[in-house]
Amino acid sequence: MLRVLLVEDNDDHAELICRTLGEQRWALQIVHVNDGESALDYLHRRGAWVDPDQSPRPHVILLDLRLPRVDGLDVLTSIKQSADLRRIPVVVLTTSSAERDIIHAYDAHANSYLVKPFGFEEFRNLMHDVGVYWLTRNTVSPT
Amino acid sequence: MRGIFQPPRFDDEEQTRIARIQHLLLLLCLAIALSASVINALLGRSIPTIALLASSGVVCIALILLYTRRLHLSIIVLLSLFIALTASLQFIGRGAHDTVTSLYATVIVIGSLLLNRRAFIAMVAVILLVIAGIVTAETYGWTRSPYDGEPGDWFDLALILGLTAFASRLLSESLQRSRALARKNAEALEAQAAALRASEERYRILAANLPDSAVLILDHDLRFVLADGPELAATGYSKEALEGRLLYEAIPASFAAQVEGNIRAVLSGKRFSAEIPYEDRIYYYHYVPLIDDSGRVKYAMILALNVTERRRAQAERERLIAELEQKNAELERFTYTVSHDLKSPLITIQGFLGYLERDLRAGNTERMQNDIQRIDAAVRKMERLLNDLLELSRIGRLSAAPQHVPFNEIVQEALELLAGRIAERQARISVAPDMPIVYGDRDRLVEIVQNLVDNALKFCDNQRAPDIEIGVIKESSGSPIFFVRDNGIGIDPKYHEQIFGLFNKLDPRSEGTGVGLTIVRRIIEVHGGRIWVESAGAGAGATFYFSLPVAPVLIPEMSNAQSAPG
Repeated sequence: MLRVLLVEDNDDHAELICRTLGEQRWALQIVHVNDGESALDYLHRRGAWVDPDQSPRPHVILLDLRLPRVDGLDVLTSIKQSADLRRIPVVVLTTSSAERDIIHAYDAHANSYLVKPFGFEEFRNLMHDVGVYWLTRNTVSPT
Repeated sequence: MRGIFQPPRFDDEEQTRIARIQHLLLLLCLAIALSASVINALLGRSIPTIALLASSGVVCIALILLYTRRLHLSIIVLLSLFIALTASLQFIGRGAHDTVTSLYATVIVIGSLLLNRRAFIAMVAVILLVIAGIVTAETYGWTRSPYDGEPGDWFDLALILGLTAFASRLLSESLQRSRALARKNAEALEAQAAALRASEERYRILAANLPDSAVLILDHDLRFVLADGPELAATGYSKEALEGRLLYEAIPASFAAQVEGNIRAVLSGKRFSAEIPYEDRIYYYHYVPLIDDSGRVKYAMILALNVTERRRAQAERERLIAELEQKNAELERFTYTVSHDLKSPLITIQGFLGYLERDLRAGNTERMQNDIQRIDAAVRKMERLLNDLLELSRIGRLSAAPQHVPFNEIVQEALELLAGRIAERQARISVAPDMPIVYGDRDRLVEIVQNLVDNALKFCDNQRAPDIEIGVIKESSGSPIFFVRDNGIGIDPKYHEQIFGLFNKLDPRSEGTGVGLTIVRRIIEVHGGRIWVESAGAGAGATFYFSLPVAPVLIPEMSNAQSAPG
């Protein structure tokens, strides 16, 4: 089972991502949370996610930057500062192509930075590449 | 009448002095000659009487010559009279051996005082010639002298009189030189004093006219030597109240003690500057030691420059720069947010359009329905975002002229606009009576209350009916602080600042674009007030506080929270 943690506040975008990723024939489990606080709760196994069986470690985290409550960069920083979590690849997936966002994301040790493209085909292609690369090509760190 | 018997004045001071001596001599001689002639007349001695009267006549001629400004001729006449008289007395007396011969010495001394060098030498030569004549006459027995004259007598007399002439001339000339020297020194001193006065005058003019300045000079006794300048009056002191007085006499002891250290430092040779506030002004002090030619500090000079205006302008400039920087940053954040939030619905629309096409081909009508709904919602969201942005951009320009409005009227209007929603939620709303009159753009002020009450209704706790309270706290500083309090879901303190950010929403699924509080804050800031929220956290309800002006305040477009009270 390939697990993805999708941190995305826009439900439409979340559905688009889920649908494009789901087109592949993989056994895929996507956990979608819609704000930064929930993402950290899931990863640090707090609140609704206390049970480790309910919150298995994802193979990749797809992270939006502009999030309610806790900002995407803060989520990223928190992940990369945590000894338990920092080896999980974090792919920033955002509408922002602002220079400072890219710099801040890499400064906070993002593993990849992707800008959501305009156009259906472009979006599908990108999500296809993300799935192939991060879920099938990339070797995750042993826990 | 008196003027006639006065010696004449000459342009040359030396000549005037000689004329005065000559005058005195002539009067003296006249008096002696006349009184002697009277005595001789009484004694019945006719020849001496006649001789003395004749002499008096000559003296009178000399006097007339003097009064008609013929000084040299007058002197020559008098000295000639002396020589002639002496020679006559020698002739009728004991020749060169007569005691009257010593009168020549007197004539020589007088001559040395009154004559110039050439005339003096000529006079001495004449005297020696006359004596030679007398000695010759004595040798040949033409006189009544009982002695036999011989050339040796002439040599003796010539030697004595020559030496007398030399010595007296030497004395007279050195006297003249000293007098000339003294006169020159006096002139130089006078010129120096005049130059000094002119210089002092110049620096006084300088001190009195240095713009926005006061100049103070103190000596080692801490006595004001100079106090001047246009700024002096502004400090409440005057030139007269300071100059010549000691520091501790002239100004209050506390202030004097404050500056004494600095003045002593200057007097020890230090040179420095300091900025010191005085009352409501700021002065920039230059402390300068005034050093004399020998390199010692003679005075301490304090140049006080009123820099209040300059500092104020500087502070104002810095404030404006900071404000501009803040606005710039705000604008950048705004652009960033807008571009992000406007992009999102476009991605949604394009994504679901793609799926719509596929679903159409696959004939999956159920999914097509969903795709169309998503697209429709995204378009609506886009429209709302654009409308909100437009609304936000309009706030900077006040829609109507500001006016005084009772805050209760504003609340009333806002509540009427929300009447439907209030009824729907069965909310209880209490409004404090007699709230202050505020000053501002009426429609915008209504918008503030409308947005805050709307928010309170939106984030109510579903377990209980919304209870909203609108009131005012009287601030001690005079500016009222209004509040809208609810018993809703509350706001975690860590989000108290975030909620005012553009398109920031704590709950992504809540209705609205997240612009409401941004608009409220913008309106309040444009009115020169500020807004903040207090809430203990989840379930504790929230209170929004905001200040508004009660009277016109300067509200430029660039205004920010700095002008707000509290």
